[in-house]
Amino acid sequence: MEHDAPAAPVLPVSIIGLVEVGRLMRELEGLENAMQATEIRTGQNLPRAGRLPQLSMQLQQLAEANSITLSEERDRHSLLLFLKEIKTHAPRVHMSFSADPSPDFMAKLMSWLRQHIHPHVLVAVGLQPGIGAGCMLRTRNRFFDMSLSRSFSGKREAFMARLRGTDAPKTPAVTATAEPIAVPPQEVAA
Amino acid sequence: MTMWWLALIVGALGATTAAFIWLATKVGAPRQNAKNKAEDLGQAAEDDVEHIFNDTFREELRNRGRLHFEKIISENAMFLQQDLRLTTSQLNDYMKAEITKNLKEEFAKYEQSINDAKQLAIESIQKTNTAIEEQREQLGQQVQAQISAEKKQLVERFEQNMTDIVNHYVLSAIGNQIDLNDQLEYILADLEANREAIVEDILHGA
Repeated sequence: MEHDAPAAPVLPVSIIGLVEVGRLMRELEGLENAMQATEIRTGQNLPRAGRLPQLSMQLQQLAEANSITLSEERDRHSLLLFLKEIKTHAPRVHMSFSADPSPDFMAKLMSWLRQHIHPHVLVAVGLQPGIGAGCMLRTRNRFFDMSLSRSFSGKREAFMARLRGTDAPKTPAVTATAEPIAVPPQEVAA
Repeated sequence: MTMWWLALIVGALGATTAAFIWLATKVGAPRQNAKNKAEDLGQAAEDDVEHIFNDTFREELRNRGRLHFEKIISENAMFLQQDLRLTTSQLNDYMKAEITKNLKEEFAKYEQSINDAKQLAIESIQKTNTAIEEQREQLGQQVQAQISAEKKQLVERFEQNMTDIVNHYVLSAIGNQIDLNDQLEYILADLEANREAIVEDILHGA
């Protein structure tokens, strides 16, 4: 499923979830306040030496990805509105892993999610060491257990057959596609 | 002819009656004389008796009679004693025999009763033993079935727990050893498999 929306703003893969969005909003508001204070004190739009204050890498990536000049007030406002829109209406999923994921891993994962699921999807990362490998994904209404633990549970009979030394029964291979489980929206949002 | 015969018979009867009456008259007269003589002789005998059997003689006869009577009594007493002893002995023997017989009969009945009771008791014990044996077999079968079921349940529980234990151990071991970057391909494959459902829920979920 491809989402061809060339005019829509783009979220870089470094922006993973609501935490980053909130931090970017605070940073952008701080930048706006600093610009206004500079303008009030010096009567100029730009700070001294014509340079912006030190910005975070994520904000810079966001501005570059959307071709936004942060020194322009209109761009800053549009970016802030975009972040507010993202915070309010962007689709969210919750993913749990067996270990704390690295930024590189999350970048690849977010790249795939933004490419194949939704360009503005946000992910809340959780930690569940008991799943062994794989991940568990929750959307607003469904739950997808794609962990190795579930795979083992589905292959219990084959495992017992191997323990007994008999032939494994002909059972269909258990895929990671799990039965959806209804989850309250508040829990997904959390 | 008949009239003559009848008259002859009547005449014979009349002659016989007359002869009888005459003969009775002749015989009754001497008897009366003899009776008088006997009375005289009795009176004379009484007088002689009174003369012969005086008091002394009577006393002597009395003593003799007393002695004789005592002798007879003694003899009879002896005989009576012998008879009594003999009777007592016979009675004892009879009583012994009767008692022995009765006792034997009673003992035989008692023994028969005991044998019957014993036979009944043996039959009852045999029935009880048979029932106990059947119940023991049934109980044994039930216990065996229950033990088998419990053993099977324990084995199943053990296998289930064994599976969980091995799974938990394997997951713990794998979870600590496999890096998430190495799992990325696996995770993306799973996400790709569920992509339709995820997108559907994200776009159209309530």
